[in-house]
Amino acid sequence: MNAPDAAFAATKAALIVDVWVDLFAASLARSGALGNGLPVVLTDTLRVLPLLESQSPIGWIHTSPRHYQDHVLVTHGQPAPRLRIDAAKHPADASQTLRRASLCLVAVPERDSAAAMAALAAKALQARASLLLFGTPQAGGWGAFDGLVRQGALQPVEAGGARVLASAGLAGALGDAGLHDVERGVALAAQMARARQADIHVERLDQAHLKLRLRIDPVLLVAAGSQTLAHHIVHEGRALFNSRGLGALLLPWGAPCQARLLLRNVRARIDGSQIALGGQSLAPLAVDYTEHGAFLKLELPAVAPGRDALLHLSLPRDAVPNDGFCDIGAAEFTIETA
Amino acid sequence: MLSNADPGVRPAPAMAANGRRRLYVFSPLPPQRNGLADYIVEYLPMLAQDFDLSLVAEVGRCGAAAAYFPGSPFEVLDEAAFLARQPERDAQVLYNVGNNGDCAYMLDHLHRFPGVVVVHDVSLFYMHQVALQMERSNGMFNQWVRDTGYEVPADFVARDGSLGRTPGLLYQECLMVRRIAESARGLMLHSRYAESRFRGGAFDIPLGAENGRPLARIPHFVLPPAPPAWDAYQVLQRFGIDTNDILLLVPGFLTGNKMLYEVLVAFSRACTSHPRLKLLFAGEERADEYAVSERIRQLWPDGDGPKVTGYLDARELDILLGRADLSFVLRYPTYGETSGILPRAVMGGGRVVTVDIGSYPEFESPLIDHVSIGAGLVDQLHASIESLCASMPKASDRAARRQVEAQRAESLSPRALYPRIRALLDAAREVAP
Amino acid sequence: MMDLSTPTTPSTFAPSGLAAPRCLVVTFNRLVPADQGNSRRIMQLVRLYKSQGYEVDLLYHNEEGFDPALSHALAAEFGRVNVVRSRAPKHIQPGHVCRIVDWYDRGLDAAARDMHRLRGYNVVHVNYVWYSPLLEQFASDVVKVLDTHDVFGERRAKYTAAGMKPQWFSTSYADEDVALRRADAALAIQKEEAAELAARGHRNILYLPYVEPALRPFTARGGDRPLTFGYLGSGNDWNILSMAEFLSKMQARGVPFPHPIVVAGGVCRHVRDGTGVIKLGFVQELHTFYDAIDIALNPMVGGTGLKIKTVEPLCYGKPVLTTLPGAQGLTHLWQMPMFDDNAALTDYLFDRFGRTSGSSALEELTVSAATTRQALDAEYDGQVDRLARWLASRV
Repeated sequence: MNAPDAAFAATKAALIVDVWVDLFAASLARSGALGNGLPVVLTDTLRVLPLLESQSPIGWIHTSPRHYQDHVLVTHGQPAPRLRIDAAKHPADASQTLRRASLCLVAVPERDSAAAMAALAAKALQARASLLLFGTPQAGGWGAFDGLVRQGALQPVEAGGARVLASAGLAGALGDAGLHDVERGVALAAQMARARQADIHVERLDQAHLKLRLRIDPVLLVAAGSQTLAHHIVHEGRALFNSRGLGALLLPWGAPCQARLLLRNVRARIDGSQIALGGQSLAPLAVDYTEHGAFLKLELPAVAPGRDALLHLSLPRDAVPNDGFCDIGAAEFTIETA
Repeated sequence: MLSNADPGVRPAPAMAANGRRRLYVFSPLPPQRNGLADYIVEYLPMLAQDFDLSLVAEVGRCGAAAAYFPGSPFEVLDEAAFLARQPERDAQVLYNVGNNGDCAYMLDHLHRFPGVVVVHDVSLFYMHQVALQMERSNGMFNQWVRDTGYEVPADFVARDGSLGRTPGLLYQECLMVRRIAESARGLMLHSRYAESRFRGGAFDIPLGAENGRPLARIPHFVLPPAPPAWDAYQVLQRFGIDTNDILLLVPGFLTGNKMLYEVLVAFSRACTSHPRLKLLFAGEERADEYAVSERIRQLWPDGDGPKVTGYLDARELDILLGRADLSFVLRYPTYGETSGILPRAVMGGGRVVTVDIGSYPEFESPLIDHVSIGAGLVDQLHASIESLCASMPKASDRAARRQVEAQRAESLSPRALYPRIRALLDAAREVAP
Repeated sequence: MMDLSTPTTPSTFAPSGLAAPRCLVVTFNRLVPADQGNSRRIMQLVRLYKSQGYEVDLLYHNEEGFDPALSHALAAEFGRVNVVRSRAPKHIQPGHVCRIVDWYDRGLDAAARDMHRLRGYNVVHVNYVWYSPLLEQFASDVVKVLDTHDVFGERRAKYTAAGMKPQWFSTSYADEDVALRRADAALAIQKEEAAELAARGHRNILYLPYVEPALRPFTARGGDRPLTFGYLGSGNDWNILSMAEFLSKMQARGVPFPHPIVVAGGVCRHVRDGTGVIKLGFVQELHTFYDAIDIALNPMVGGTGLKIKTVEPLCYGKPVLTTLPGAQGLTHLWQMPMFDDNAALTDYLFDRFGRTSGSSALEELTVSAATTRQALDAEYDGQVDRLARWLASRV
């Protein structure tokens, strides 16, 4: 492997950690190991953990402001706002949520100042929640957790190119395989599929790598940038674009992956759509027009570390109806952990 | 990261490596026919010199706007591309906001990505209404109004929270600026009147640099006078204006708030004593607001009354302003707007009559007389016509006036005013959290 | 696999700088605008919890519609809102008997559990006895409050006694007793109802009257218009029957009543023309009606639950002439005349106002109305204080 390819592989291996974290946390929740406690995620960017969320509600605590409203599904109900607490604006709320946590997943931030997040993680430990920290090895935020590490509260976990620390109980649960437990992933996917809790297909690539294909209700991923759109999403229960044809979608993973999106109610061709992720403008690999809508196939690059996992789309004006909204009717993501 | 050679990836233009900070500007843009587009265009070259400049167009308008600026030193972005780049810690945003539907898209961004807001119209009620209509969310309007500290009487609110009726007073009283003030990192208004009304509308929001919201009062620019038109005579002939006529002009769209009836009455009194007087309504009629042509027919059944030109392009209007001996720039009610016609009228060299309310008195010129709204308005208008007839200037005087006004206008040129805009952006950056 | 769960934490607050206690309110009523008696009562409780420092969430069991504007309005009022579509079968058995199990929607259980897992409620507050099964989703550390809104045990009997067909929910005493026992506290909106439920052995009943803020003082009117009487009511069966009986009694006197009687609200559709009344129809703002009258009439022949039209005029500074059924729940503090039935009410009207301007009678009634209002406020404050102290002791 040449140097650029090696660098790329190392970056991807680090970014792929959220897939493994999602699989592990979902398996914990599914096994009942979390009991009545809440899984809580500390993060400074907007992201989702769809597999864990299929097993349990999640409390998200943010250490940076967020600018979008996303949603969870309610059994027999309308979508409800996904619970995301701004720790700076609502510190008491964040503390109270952590007190009820049985599991605290910490997405170590890229930037240097992670003191607020480390303080929250310490509260989770005080509340006897199990702690798992994950991120790229070079993330600037690791320094803020040195105190916890020195106290002996956290142990390193085998995680390929990523850096992962876990409290003793979790480290034990992870076992020698560490985070990259292919068998766990395959078994979990089969269980969830049988129980119809998630539409996920996992294929073993080798002893350490998987290929995942996740089909997910796009309402779980749509992110509304305005109040009006958020309330329309809640009312209609669909993953809507706004009336101008602007929409945003959370990506389940930060590593490069492929996506297929079904865009519905489009009134004209959408080849000229603007699609942007971070500072990059994307062109679809293919657009297939069917009776169900337009299938958009995308090769998604990595989400830059420290950025929201948000894909932004704007449709051509003539594709947007005058009397309704376009929506994303289906979403499928495929990723290889290798 | 995937390389550029991989399919499906086109890298965005590189960020500035020259030390200039990034500035995003939200505005209606050409070819949209909107005064705000014309406004921002005048400042773009200077902004592009000082900043790494990106214009953010409303979805669906990016392509046309980009095509309007080929080879320019700035980029034109789609809203999606802007959002995908956020947050950018070191970037600033400038919102060029007016009370029209073309600005509604900015409401989705200016609260989340705070920036400096140029408030062209101190009442943004209509813009908020249109924004909600576009989003099919009329029912949220009552709550939005409440958020600004105003309560619409229940008789005007439908059960679903939408406005069933919108009495004109709401547009005057309910400015809908409070939340914008709260989010803003800086504010710009064009007049003392607009500033005082804005402060009233943002009643509980502390303004000023010491509160993280520097506020600057920067007048709307005045463009230099148009060069003499080669076909001015033909244009004037087309509208029946002879060399000996004393031309009275009402310039611009003939909306219901331009006191058209009062002008007609004043003219009808004056023209009995001064047969050379001619009155021209130089603009497109808005018959649903005031049927001026119909009224003229009633008052001058022989057809020898004032004329209505219909729609004029800017060049034709400047020709008429350059010929008019007296222009009427009247407004009631005013929404605090800054008149673009007023400076163009004085640069035509003729006398101008305007109102003493709102922002109108703040444009100063010795050619301007002010009149008070009220029962005596017709008498005042009549008096100004009589005064004109009693002391008609010579052609040389007129030329001198034009030159004086052109020189005065230089201090209000975009280039002259730009440093104050730059200072506001710098001040906003200084106090940003 | 090791058990990584932590014990369920009792709902306590950490010492300082703490999150507010949380209450989950569950209702099928559309709360914005709160223009019906039950929605106004629910919002009274929401305001009460907030005044005690609670953050209030809402689980809206959508039976009265949902739209983006309502979503927006509810999000402004409540900390967190979940909306569940109603799939309650709502069977009515022969004899008009309703079982709670047929009216409760099990679809609410999962939503309530998930909300509790996320938010950790200290109090769950449900409305109407057929929502009481939801209380079983919460462990003993969560305080359970049931606002009854009415006594629904054998409620059908009240309709049949008035010669009307029973409407809506009516259950057995046994079913209602089971429901009441699920709650730590069951609120009754009328003192008589609280007494009735206590008499059936329930020790967890708290009387909490419905009161709204006073909007107008009790002042003597100016002489700019004739003395005017008024009735405002929706088009429900009790109001229609009551109004019809009252007007027939008035007409039966054979002489016109010398003062205008204004009728407003949905009941107008059911009032015949030429009956000596002025019909306003639907009024958007209540004050336009109450400012136009001097004395409110409440000629109820029966009914159940809160008689909002008895209390509402007192918010607008107007005395109320009511029958006993109309004053039910307030008779212990009522200072104005009460009438056994519409015949007695009619007699009073003609006696006191039939031949005179009625101004002295109006003055007396206004003083009595003010006294009644004071008594109602004092009672409400006292009961709120009891509820607040009880909540504080439990949470």
